[in-house]
Amino acid sequence: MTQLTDNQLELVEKTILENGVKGDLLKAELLDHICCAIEVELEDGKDFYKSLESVLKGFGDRELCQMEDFIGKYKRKKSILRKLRLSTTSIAACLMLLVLGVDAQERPQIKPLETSYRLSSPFGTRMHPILKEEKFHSGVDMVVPIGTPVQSTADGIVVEIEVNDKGHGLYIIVKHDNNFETMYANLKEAKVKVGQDVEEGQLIALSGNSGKSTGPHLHYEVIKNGERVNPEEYFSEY
Amino acid sequence: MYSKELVKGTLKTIILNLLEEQGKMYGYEITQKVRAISDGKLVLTEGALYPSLHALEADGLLTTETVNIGKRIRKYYTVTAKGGSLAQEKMNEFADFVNMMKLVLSPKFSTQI
Repeated sequence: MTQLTDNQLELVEKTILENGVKGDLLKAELLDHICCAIEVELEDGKDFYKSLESVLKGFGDRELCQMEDFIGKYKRKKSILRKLRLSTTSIAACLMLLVLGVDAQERPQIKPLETSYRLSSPFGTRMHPILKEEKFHSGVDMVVPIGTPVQSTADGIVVEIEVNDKGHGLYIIVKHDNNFETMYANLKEAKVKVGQDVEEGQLIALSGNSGKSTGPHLHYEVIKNGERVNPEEYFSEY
Repeated sequence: MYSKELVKGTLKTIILNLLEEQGKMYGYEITQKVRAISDGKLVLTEGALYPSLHALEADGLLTTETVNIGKRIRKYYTVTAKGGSLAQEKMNEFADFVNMMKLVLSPKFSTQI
């Protein structure tokens, strides 16, 4: 089995991961994966640069979103391929694809509750349970007992903890990146402070029945570029 | 290649069972093994595989060890006892699901009703 020379390894590492992934083990794992793929191509008689190009292209073409989520978990603002230094324009072009994909990281990707729940009110226009008129519902209502742990749905920073007696009761807003924020409302108790960094899956609050509410539930919103979007589209199954 | 949805729903079952059978494996090896067994019909993408591996590890279903290959570091995954019993459970569940789907999708069955 062909094995990359130290120089080739260094080049692969530089090309792909320079200024990129923070977690050493993750970086090492991806690097090994890419090297293995290149070695298989070398076995087939391709030259090193052609192999590197086609392997990276394969990465670019495949499920970028998922790769982006994966990488987004482990690092923040840096793009995996921001500092690429390859002369071939075709490589540059396919890497750009990846850069663009990876830049939009830290989208909400899990449910705010780990426990099972009943969805009492979906996103969109609905009959308001208290006002008894058609209203736009800007999030989802997830029915759970008071005191159920609520988790952040992506890495981010807590930007707002307020009490609003009219609607949302006690609520928390977490900012994830320039595109995404999430809001957790009708809470009983906040477990974080404004300005605190939170990770995906981290406990941030206990659910409650505060605000305008007909029963204990969590009101959860995903805000993309300032607009409310359907949170259920961000409930990944991984 | 099968649809993403189908692969997504069975990915953890595939990983757990493969590791249960083969012992320790690393990420690239898993993709190649699955590709070979399925005759190229099932291709696990890196973007799907690694998040699942990391999630399974975080849940205590897999353990890892790292081995130096020259200057490279290779991360091997092994199922834990908990992972092994879940592998069995998931496989049974899936077999049951396949049987049920056969029934539901069988034209003979639907015309009888």
